[in-house]
Amino acid sequence: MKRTKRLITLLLACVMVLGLAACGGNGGNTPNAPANNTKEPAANAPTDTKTDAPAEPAASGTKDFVVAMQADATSMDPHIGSNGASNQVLDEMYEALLTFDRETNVIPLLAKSWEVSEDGRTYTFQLNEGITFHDGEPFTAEAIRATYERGINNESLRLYRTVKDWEDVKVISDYECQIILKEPNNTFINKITQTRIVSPKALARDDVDDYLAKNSAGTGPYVLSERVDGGYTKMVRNESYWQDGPKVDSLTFKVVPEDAARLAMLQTGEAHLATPVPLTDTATVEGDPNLVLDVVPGITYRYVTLNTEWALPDGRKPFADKRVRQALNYAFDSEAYAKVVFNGYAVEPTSIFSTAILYHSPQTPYKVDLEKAKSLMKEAGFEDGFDVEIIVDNTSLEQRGATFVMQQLSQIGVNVKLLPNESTANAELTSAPLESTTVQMWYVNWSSGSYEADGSMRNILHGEKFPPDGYNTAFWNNAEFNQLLDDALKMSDTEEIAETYAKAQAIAWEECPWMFLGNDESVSAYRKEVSGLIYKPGGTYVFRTIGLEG
Amino acid sequence: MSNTPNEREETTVSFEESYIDENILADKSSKTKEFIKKFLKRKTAVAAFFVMVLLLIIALIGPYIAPYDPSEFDYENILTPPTAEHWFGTDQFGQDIFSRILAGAPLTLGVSLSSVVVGAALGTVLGLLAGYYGGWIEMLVMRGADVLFSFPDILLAIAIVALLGPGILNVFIAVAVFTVPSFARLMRSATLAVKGSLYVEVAHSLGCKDGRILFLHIFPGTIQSLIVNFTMRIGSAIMAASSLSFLGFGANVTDPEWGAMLSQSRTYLATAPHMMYFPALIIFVTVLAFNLFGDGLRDTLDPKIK
Amino acid sequence: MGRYAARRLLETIPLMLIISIFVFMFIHLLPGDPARQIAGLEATYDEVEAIREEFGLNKPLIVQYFDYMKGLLTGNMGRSMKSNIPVSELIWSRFQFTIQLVFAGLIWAPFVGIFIGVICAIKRGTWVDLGGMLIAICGLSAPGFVLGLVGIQVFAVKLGALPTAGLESWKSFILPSIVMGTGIMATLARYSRSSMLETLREDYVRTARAKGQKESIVMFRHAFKNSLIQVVTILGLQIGGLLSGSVITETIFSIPGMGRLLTDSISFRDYPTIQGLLMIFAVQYVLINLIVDLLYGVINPKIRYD
Repeated sequence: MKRTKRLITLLLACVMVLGLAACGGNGGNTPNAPANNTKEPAANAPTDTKTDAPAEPAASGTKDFVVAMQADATSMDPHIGSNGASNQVLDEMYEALLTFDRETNVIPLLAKSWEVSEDGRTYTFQLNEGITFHDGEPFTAEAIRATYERGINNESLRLYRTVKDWEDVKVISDYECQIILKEPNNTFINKITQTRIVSPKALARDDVDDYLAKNSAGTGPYVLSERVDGGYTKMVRNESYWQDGPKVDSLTFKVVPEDAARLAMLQTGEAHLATPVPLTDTATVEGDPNLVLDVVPGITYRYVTLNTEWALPDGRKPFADKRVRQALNYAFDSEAYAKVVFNGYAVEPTSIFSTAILYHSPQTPYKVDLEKAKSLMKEAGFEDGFDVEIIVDNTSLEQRGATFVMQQLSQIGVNVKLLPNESTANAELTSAPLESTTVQMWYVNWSSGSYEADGSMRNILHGEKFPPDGYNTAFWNNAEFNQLLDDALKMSDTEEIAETYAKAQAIAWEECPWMFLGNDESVSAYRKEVSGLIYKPGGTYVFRTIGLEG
Repeated sequence: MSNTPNEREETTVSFEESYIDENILADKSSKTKEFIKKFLKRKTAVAAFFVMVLLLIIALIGPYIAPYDPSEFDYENILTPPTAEHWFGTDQFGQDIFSRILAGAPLTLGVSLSSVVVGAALGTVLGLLAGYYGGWIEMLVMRGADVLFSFPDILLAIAIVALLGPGILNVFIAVAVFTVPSFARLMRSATLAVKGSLYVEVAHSLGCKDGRILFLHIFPGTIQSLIVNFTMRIGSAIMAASSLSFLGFGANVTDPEWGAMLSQSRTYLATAPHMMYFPALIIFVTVLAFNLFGDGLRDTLDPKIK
Repeated sequence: MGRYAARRLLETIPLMLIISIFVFMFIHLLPGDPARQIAGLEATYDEVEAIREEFGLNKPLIVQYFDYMKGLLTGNMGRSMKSNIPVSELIWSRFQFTIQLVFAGLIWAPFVGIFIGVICAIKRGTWVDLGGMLIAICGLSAPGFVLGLVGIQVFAVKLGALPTAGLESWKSFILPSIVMGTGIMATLARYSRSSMLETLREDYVRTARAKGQKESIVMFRHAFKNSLIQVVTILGLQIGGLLSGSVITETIFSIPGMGRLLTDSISFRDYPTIQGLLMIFAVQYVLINLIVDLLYGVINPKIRYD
C-alpha cells in the first residue's frame, strides 16, 4: 500500500538522522566508555601508539581523584595552553627545571641546582639523572635545547614569549646545560618555572602538534589518558615517576562551569576538590563535616584604571589631576567591597599588587574618608562631580564589583555608568591606541602567573605599554617609575631589586593611576579524605603526592 | 513548514477545512456585545484579565509606591530573609526586593510586551504576504525565516551588544527579531488555509482589492492561532530576558528587570533562596495571566464553541 | 516520496550557501579576534600581528571566505584556533552529548505535553483543563537554570538520589531530561489543546459523532489525528531550538555539548569552530524540517508529495 511505503521511507529518513546519534550514543549509556575525542576519525589517522594504559573502567579498588574546575584547559599542548586552568592541568604532566614553593621561593625540580654568571646573562643548570619522559625517552640536557628550538621557531606558541629573550641553549654534557640570555633579566628565574620541558623524541616527530594535542610527553607524575574537550581531562599515575608520586591511580579534572554545581559535586562526593568554591556558599562548606574549606591569599589584584587622558565634553580631563584620582580612592571602602562582593574573602590592598607576589612592599592604605575625598574634588574644581563610563566584563562577579564601585563613587558626585560586555569585546576596546580609545574607566584585575613584580606592573603601568602594546589604559606615563622598572630588570642582587621595586610601588601608589580595590583570596574546598596536597602561591595546587584515605 | 511551499499549499487546503465562520463578517456592534457576554462566561479568563489589569496598574504606579528606593544600597542589611520591614527580603546589595519588583514592572512588562508586539506585527505581515502572494515574496520570507531559525540567538545578542552597547535595548531587539520568524511561519500556513476557503474566492471574484481581502477577510481568519502564539510568546520573552542574563547579555545588573533578578539569584540559591522565590513567583503569575487570558480570548472568538 | 526527499535535500544547498556567507560575515564583524586570545595578555602588538598573519586573519574577508569554502568542499572544516583540534572532530565529540540530551528531553516531553493538551481540550472549561494548563504554564515560566539548580539542590545534595553532573548512568539523565523537556512539554500542551479544539469542531468530527460513533473513536481517529499536524510542526521547531539551545542545561550539568562549545567558541572568537557549528545547526534544521514534512504524509495520507 502506498501508505506503508511512505511509512517505510519516513522510517529510513529517521534512521538516517538518528543513526548518527546511535553511533555516538554509546558514549553516554555505558558509564565507562565516554566519547573520547582522542580517538581519531579516519580523516586524520593517528600513527601514534598510546604509551599509557587504556582507559580502564573505574573498577572498585582503583582510586580516581576528581577535581571540579571552573574552566577547561585550552589545549593539551604544553606550549599553547595559557589560562590558569591550562597551567593547573599541564603542570601535572609536564615539569620545568625549577618550580615554586608555597612562599614564592624558587626551588629545584628537574634541575638539582643552578648558578648565574657575573654579568647575569648565563644560567648554568645541573640536571637530575634517571628521569624518563612518558614516551620512554631519557631526560637529558638535549630536551632543554629541543624545547627551546620549538619555541623560537614558532611565534604563535606561548613558549615563544619566554624563549625570545634567550640567545642560546648550550648542552655542556648530558646533565649540564647553559641558557644564555640576550640581556640580564631578573624575571628569567620565575619564567623558567613556566617552561615545560618536552621529550625530544616527541618534538622530533613530523606530527608534533597533533601528537602533543593528544598525548603527554613530559616527565610529570601523571600521564594523559583521555580527554573530552570541554568535559574532562583524565590522567593515570606515571608508574616510572622519578620522585615521590601519587597514591591514587588516576586524576581527573572535570570542567564544571556552574558555581553551585561545583559545590554540589563536592557535597555528594562526586568530586574530591572544587576550585574555586562560590564565595557566597562558604558557610555551607564549613557546616559540612566532610568538607574542608581552604582559603589562601590570592595573587589576583583588582583595580579600576583611570584614563588620565580622557576629557569631558567641556574639555577638562578629570583623571589627569592626581587629586581627583586620590579622591576616588578615598571615596572607596575596601572593607565593604570585600564584604559585599567577596563575602569577606578579600583583603584591603596594601600596594599595587598582592602580597603573594615577590618584592611586594606595603604602602599606607587609602582609608575611606568621604570628607577628604570631597575636599580633594573641590580643590581640583570638580565639586559637582562628573559622568563617566566604566567598562566591565559581563560575568556576575565582575558586574557585582563594578556596581559596588558605581555606588561608592556616587557619594562624591561621580556618576558611573556600567558598560558590561564579554571579555573578548572588552579586550578589543581596551587595546585601542590613545587616539581612538573609548576607555574612561576599566574595572579589571591582573595576576602574574610567574609571581614576579615586573610581570605585575610593566604591562599595565609602564609608559611604553600604552595599548595596543600593553594594557596601560590609564595612559599613565611616569618617567621615574618607568626607569625604576627598567633598571630593576637588569639587576641580579635581590636586595637591590627589592629596593628598586619598593620605590616604584611607592610612586604608583601615591600617583594612583588606578582605584585600588582589593586582593581577593583564593577559596577552594576539598573532602576530608584528601591527603598530600601541595600548594603553590595564589591557591594553585600540586597533586603530585595526593592520596585518598579510606 | 515546508521548503516547497507551493506543493504544500494545495495539499494543506485539501484536508484542512475553512477556519472561518461567515458570522465574523456579521455586523459589528452586536458582535462586540456578544463577544463580551461570551467572554464573561469564562471565569478563569476573566480572573486572568483582572490580574493583567493589576499588573498593568503596578507597572504604571509601582515605581511611585515602592517603600524603598530600589537602587539604594544598604550594606548593613544584605541578604536578609523576608521581615516586616522588607516583605520580600533584601538582595546582595541590601536593596529591597519588594521595591525592586515594583520598580521593575514597567521595565519587564514594557520590554516583553513591546518586543513581542513589534516582532509579532512584523512576522504577521510577512507571513500574510508570503501566504497570500506566494512566489518570490514567499521564498524570500521563508528562507529568511529559515536562516533566523537556524541561527542561535546568543550570537545575535552578542552582535547587538557589540553594535549598540549593553542594556535592556539588547533584550528588546533580540526577542523581537526571534519572534518574527515564528509568526511569519504560523501566519503563512494559516493564510494558506484560509485563502482557499469559499468566501475568499467569492471576494476575489467580486473584484475586491488584494489589500482588502488580506486584512478584512484573511487576517481575521488567522486570529486564533495568532492569539495563542502571542500570549505564549510574552512568557517566552520574559524567559529569554532571563536566559540572556544568565549568559551575561541581559539587562544591566542595576536594572530591576525580573528575569535579570531571577538569574542573579541563582548564586544565592543555597544561602538566600528568597531572592529566587519572589521574582520567580511574579514571573509565574504574569505568564499565567497572559496565557489564561489568551486561551479565553481564543475560545470566545471560536464561533463553534459555545 | 523518495524523489521528493532527494529534491528537498538538493534545494537546501542554496540555503546552506546563504547561511555560510551570512554567518561568515557576521562572526568576522563582531569586535575582537582570536589572535589576541591566542597571544594572551602579555603579548606585544607585533606578536599579535604575527599570529594574525599566521592564521590569515589579515587577508581580505572575501579571500578568507573562499579559503574556508575551499576547505569545506574538500571536507575540511579547519582546525579550532583555541584547542588546535580539527573542527569536525571537535563538533562530533560534542554532538554525541547534545543528541543524548535532546533524546532525554524528547523521550517524555512530547507525549506528556500532547496528552495534557488533548485531555484539556476534551475537558475544556473544567478544573481538569485549568489544572493541565497550570502545569503547562509552570513549565513555560520556569527558566531551565532554575529547574536545574533547584533539582540539583533537592535530588543530588539533600536526598543524594541523583548525581549532579555528567551523563554517565541512567540516573544522571533524569535531571537534564526534565530541564530539556519541560519547555517542550509546556509548549506542546498549549498548542495541542488549541489545535485539538479546532479539529473537534470540524465537520467531519461532528459528522462522525452524528453517525453515532463511539466517543473515544471520534476523539482519537478523527479529532486527535488531525490535530497532530500542527503539533508536529511546532515539535519540529522546538527540536531545532533544542539542538542549538541546550547551553543552559549543558552548563548546569557540566556536559560538554554543542551549546557550550558554541558559547565558548564565540567568546574566544574561534572562527572555524563557530562557522562549523552554525553550518551543522543549519543542516540539522533542514533535516528536521524534512522529517516533519514527511510526517505530515504519515499522519494524513491525503497529503501528496510531488
